[in-house]
Amino acid sequence: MALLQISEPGQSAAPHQHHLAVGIDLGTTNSLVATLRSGEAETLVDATGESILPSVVRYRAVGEPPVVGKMAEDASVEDPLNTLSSIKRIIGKRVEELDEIAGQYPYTFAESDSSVPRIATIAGAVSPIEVSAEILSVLRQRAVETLGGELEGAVITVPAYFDDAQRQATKDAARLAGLKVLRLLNEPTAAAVAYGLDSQPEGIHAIYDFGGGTFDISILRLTKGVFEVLSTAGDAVLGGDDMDAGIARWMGEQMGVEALSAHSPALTRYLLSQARDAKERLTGRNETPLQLQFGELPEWSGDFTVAQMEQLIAPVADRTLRIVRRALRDAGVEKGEVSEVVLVGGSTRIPLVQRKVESLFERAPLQGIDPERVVAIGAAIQADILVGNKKEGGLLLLDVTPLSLGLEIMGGMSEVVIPRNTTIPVARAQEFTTFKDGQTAMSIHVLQGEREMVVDNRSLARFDLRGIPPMVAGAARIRVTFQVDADGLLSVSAREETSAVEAEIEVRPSYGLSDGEVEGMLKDSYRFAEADRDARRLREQQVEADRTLEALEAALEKDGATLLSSEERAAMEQLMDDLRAIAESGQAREIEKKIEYVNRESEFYAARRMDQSVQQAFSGQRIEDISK
Amino acid sequence: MDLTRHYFDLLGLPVDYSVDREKLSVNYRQLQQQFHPDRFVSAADQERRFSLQMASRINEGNRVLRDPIERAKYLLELQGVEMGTDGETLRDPQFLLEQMELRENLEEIQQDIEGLERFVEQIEQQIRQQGERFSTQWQESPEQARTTVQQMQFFQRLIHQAELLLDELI
Repeated sequence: MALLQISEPGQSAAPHQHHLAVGIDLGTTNSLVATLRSGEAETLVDATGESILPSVVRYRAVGEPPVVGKMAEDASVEDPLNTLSSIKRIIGKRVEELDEIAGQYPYTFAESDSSVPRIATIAGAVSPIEVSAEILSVLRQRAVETLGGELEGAVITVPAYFDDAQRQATKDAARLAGLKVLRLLNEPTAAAVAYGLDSQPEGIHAIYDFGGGTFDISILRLTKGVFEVLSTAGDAVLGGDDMDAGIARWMGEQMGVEALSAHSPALTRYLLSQARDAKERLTGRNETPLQLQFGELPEWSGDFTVAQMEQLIAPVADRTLRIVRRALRDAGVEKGEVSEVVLVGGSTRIPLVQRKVESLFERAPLQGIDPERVVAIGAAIQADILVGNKKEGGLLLLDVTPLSLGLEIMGGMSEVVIPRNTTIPVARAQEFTTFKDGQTAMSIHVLQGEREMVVDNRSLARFDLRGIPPMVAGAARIRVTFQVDADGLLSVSAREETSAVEAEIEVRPSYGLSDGEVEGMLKDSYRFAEADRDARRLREQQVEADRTLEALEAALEKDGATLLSSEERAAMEQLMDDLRAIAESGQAREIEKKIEYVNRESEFYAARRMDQSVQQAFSGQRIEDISK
Repeated sequence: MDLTRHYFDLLGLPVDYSVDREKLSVNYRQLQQQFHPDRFVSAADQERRFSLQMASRINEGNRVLRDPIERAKYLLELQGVEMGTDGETLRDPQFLLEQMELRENLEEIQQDIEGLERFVEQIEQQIRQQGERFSTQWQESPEQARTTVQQMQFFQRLIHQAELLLDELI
């Protein structure tokens, strides 16, 4: 069955039931989980009453579950190689891309054939996806225990500037942690939701999100319950960590160390920790005493002033302002047109940052909600809407893709198919042709980025379209379609039009984590309670059958009498009876095939309903076609 | 899956070059409130697929109708007029000369942020004027209208170049 529940937005299978859903902020430094309870958004706490979970995972021994959170963080200086933090900076990246940030972190990367980076730990080599899954798992457990039931899903936030590989990797991590992802939500958008800006008069808002590892700026317009992102820009490797690194380098110099990377990882860890502490102490104070001692190195003690620190961190802050100006330009908005500026992320607590933002926008920014919690809260609000708890559907978020998507064409050039800041979901096609007589295959290289040359952009995936019938060069018509979904994830399909030869690929990043590998991780994971994959498949098909049946029932009830003849209606009823029977007693594969059959047979009904819905959308305003 | 309703009809606007932007926005938001994937998160697979296709089409329709050049091309397409190559435009010496001068101009100001922004405004004004000419041509003389659109595209490329330069500087 193929029917859109077009007049019942937001309603799900059991309309009177409250569905448990959470919002998760998987941060570079800290993570949180939040939910909506009795209409109020709240972050969930652990046994000690703390809602913040440091995004730190410490591996102790083979076969033993790792320690996650504060206890892991406390061990980071004594055990730097097995205590992994800021993993968000690495997730979704290939080994070759790590050079620029790897120096900042004292990890040892294990030898591996695949381009997925794996960090060597005492418990074995782990990928960033597995590490992130450990963090998500703790949050999931916390939610299940606190709320007393299984979760229907989670909204997980990502930096707006995360590319396709980083998003896909985040989604993989969630799967590994046993979470159903309702939506990947951009962090600035989540913050806008949290501020209840939708209850304010309409306007244009800027969300300045400066966290531990990433920087995002989003310019949004709010009009009558619809948030439209006008532009988004950022830097996925620009954050508080970089400010800490600058301070740490200076501290190292005071101790006579020229290059930190030449020394032990433990020294790096120590100085980063000292740097972060000093930075935090200087919020609200003009100077702070420092006492640096490490191993054999000459001790150093002295005062560290705000002025000194600001000089060290100013370049990082200034880079964010450049990115803000670009976002304003992309949005076609003057800074004077911005009604509200919202500050998000721990790094916005720094007075220098606040001053610079206020100065750029010439207005005081909103900071009412704790900048560290605001993203999780926004995600929780969105989760509540998506899972169907709100009768009227509520706020609608129209986000954009942050980076241009394109293909490699002759000469090592990159041709844009979907430009950055295009509202998603979006589908666009481009036609190409063969350049040699008799060419039967075509290589498709999918790229993300703004640069003209392939080498300067991010390689997302490569695949081949084979089976093109041999033709004269230039005769083949190869249509490549890009589809970006509401999570910002790309699917690419290619089709040779004259012969209808097709290839499809869900863009699996060039870093190569395949479905099989994720399945493999699921099976091996000690957290994976269900040994029986078949039982899981059967249940999945039964749930899908239920949804299909409910949708058909609801549709028939609404307009079966008006849109269908009595024979057609009877046919639908028959389809439903057959499906019900199979769902109860059949195997997963049988149910799946029946669902496909029902969908095909009812597609004509769906088309009629769709058309009627579009017709009714602006009742009375539609103009007759002038041309077809 | 019937997706053949053209963009003007889908977005509830008359088929014309001049577009009521406010009405377009209102209709666009209303449509997405209904069809966006966020409304179908827990729905059956096929519903989600349809929603994705529909929301994508609504987004595309909005984008095309909102952009002066895309809208012009679309109107011609609806009339069965292919855009083709830049043929006629490339044979117009006056126009080509103007384009060359503008390109030289652009090279001179490539380090000058304010200069570049003024340049962009200037060219946008040109495109607007071309648009006005297009609106008088597209129904009666589609061939001429096509040439006008080709010229608009030349101007658009200049803006694109200027924006690439601005990206480097800002």
